[in-house]
Amino acid sequence: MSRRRSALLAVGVAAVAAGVVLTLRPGLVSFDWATLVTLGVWAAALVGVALAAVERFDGGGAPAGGLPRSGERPDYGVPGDDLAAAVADAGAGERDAADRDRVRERLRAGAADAFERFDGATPGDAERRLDEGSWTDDSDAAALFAEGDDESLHEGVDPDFDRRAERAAAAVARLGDGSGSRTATTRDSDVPQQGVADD
Amino acid sequence: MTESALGTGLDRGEQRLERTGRWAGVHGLALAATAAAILVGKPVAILAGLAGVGFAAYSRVMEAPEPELSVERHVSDTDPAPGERVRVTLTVENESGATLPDLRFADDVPAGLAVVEGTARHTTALRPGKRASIAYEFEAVRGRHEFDSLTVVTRDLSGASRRVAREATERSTVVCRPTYEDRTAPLGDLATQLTGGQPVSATGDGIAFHSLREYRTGDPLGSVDWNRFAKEGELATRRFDQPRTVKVVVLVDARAAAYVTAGDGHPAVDTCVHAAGALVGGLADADCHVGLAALSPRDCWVPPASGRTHRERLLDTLTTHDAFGWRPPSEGGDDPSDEDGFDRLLTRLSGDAQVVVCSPVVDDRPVEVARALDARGHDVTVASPDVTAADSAYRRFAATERRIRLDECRRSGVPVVEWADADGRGPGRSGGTTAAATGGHNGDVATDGGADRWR
Repeated sequence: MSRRRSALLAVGVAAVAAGVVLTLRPGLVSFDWATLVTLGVWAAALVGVALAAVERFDGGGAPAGGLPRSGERPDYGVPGDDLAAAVADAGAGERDAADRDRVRERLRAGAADAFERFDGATPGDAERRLDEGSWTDDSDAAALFAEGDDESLHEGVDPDFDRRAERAAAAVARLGDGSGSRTATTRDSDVPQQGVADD
Repeated sequence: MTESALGTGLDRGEQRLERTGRWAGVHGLALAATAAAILVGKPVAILAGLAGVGFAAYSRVMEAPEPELSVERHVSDTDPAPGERVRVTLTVENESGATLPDLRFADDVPAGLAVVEGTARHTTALRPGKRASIAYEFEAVRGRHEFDSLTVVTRDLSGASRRVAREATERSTVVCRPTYEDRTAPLGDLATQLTGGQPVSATGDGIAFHSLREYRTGDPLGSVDWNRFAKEGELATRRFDQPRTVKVVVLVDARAAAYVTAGDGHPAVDTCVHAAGALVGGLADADCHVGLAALSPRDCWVPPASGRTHRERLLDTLTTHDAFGWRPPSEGGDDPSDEDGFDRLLTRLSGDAQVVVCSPVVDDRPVEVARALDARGHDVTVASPDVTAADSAYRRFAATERRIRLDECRRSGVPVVEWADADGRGPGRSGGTTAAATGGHNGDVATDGGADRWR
């Protein structure tokens, strides 16, 4: 226990003891209440000053406000954390609908691209299956892009947005995991072509 | 100004006085106590209010003392190898002639250096002529790190005000130079017309046959394969091995968006710098003319050239240039319309230069850059370390986005190398990646085209 906490504890115990004594023996102190309040305020002020002085001259305390971070690397984000933060910041109410739409757009674009790239779907197919919700077995993930059909929602309100967004992100990632990553150095001839011209 | 100066927003040698607001409520309390005392008609109770008035007056009148300090810093090693521990001892002496009742100071440790033992901060009260010392150790990482200031905060006894200052100190410079590997990436079809040491395939005269490609208007008639024309009725042009000079600019993605990590505390920019260093060595060994540029608001450009001195200059630039520092650049540069310096690069890039883009590809911009360079006729290769993580749905989603972007590059005809460092950093996390070629051998260079079907 620090010296400051010890001093505060002593002050507290003394105050409680005084209170108990004065309760059991009213009139023990002959001063009127105004004098007592005055003395109490001054005593508290003096104790505060004393504690502050002790703290200043103690020198062993942890550095606090005013100093910058020092000896630490900047906080670099991890790819994907920006999306997580955007989801967390987007509320469920109507006023946050635009924020949710931005998140939904990014997830949908990722889902469509992944569907085309890893599942071989055409762009039209991908969009249709996203609209239908048939692109994944996860009903929560599917509902993120087909919420217009969900009659249980009030217009502009989406209380399950966080969960749906996370499930959709996971479902898109599963599309990518399923095909593995391309590993070797590859040229255009190694991937499905879409009008790549020779030199 | 060193990067560490940004913590307080002060330049070296500057200071400012701030009110802490600690006694902000005491005025109200004093007035309330005095009013209550007047209300009950007890003169003695007014004294209670006077206590508050005293504190309020004190907090208004007193100002944090101005520190006059002498600072000594000793750095145990100014040329450490990466990963080595360096000990810093800092001693502060109060030369102001008055007691500093509340003195807090923090050494301005350059960004990128992480303290691994001890602390770079200290709080004390210092009488005149007295000294206080701290010692700490940091782990050396790539870069030129300059210790040139100390952040000092003083307060008055009540804590009502504080003075924040960046005290200038003697400069101590620590330079940590990593050893870069020598590796190459597959290059494209572009070369200069200059004779050089790199055997490439080109139309024209030659002794060693290299390959055939489709005929293009302007090809010399002497290069046309007439036998093929006679047999198949199709014009084809013969290419021969010729010693040419290949010019390559290594472009490092050092935008703020590239300052991301896979969780090991190293930003992707650092991994890209190591990749660029390896490419500089490997391509220089392969007799290429190598240049360097940064895709960043912080301008960095070393035009392509060759030779040992130039190679050392490139590696030194990668090691020490601000563009590749440990703190992300602030948004926007000198030219708001060219936030990442790409337009500036285009004005400098000669038409016969190939470009290797080193980028983590965590957003769409590197793909746009690669495509734009490709569209202007440069042969482009993307070397990309994987700095994505897989411990949350959103991070896995970001990894998927990156794979899709790399795939877009491939679909556009831009070769992609998933870069793996020798120490395993940056790469391999996506599983089964293959590193670029090692050993300084440039295996596949052609100067004027060459679709596989013609070889």
